[in-house]
Amino acid sequence: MTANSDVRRELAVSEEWTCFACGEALVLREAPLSYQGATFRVEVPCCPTCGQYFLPESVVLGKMAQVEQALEDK
Amino acid sequence: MRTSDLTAAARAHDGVLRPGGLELTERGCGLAGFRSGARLLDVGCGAGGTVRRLLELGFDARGVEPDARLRGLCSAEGLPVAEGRAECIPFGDSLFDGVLFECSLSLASDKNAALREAFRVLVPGGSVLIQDLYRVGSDSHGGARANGGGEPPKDCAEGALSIGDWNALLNEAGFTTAVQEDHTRELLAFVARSIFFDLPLPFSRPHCGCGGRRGYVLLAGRKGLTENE
Repeated sequence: MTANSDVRRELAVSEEWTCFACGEALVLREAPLSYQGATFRVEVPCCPTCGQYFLPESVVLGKMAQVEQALEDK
Repeated sequence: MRTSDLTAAARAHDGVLRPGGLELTERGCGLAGFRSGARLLDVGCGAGGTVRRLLELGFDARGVEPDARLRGLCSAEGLPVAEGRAECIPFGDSLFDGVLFECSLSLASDKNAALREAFRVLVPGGSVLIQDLYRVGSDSHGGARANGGGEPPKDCAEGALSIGDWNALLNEAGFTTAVQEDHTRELLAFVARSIFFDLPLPFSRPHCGCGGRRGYVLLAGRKGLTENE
């Protein structure tokens, strides 16, 4: 991935978060994002202990909503 | 799409400006039965992502690209690329085991001529591999489907044909359809990823202002393969 988009910066900033359950600092891990059968891979913050992914609200309400809307329009 | 936009889009998409990525290229080569060392030609090779991968896989690959700036990206990496258009492939007869059109046949101003050229440069038993957008639920556009003698489409969404018309074109050029697979999910993923990362799309959004929905298909046609073979 060569793009340095805003969403990438938003996801990188959230590396500062720690997992509430484990107290571990989150690390970036690749995860599949799927919606209506369309899947693509994105690096998102993840707890290295419990494996839970963390998506910032700004990404969920921003880019992810934009993608969902575009796919629903089809 | 302007040349500068195409170049930027190719860079942003890591040199592979189409749905399915290199995985779909490899799948197509497997389905077509290309063996290591096979001579393959990628028509409309763009920035050369497919040619690079085919060489890595052990094929004797080269590209044809009409756009000078995209050819420049290929040459900068030492990839073998020739100047030429799909309707006038700059190679002699019966030289290749496979010809690939990856989201490029829809852009040809004369698709019939492009497929006749692919047939000419293929050895008997060789295959043409097509990945492209298709018009969902469209009936045949008759003689207009091939855009013969007309203006080239502005992008591959506009230049897309129905599945039936893609097959008819293949057959008219002398090919027998050997593979037809629907990869519309890869198209949706490509659009979704492009929106998510603010990457430029090489075509208008498939549902917007270009005459209905689009899907994505992988087709393979065999030269010299008959129903009895």
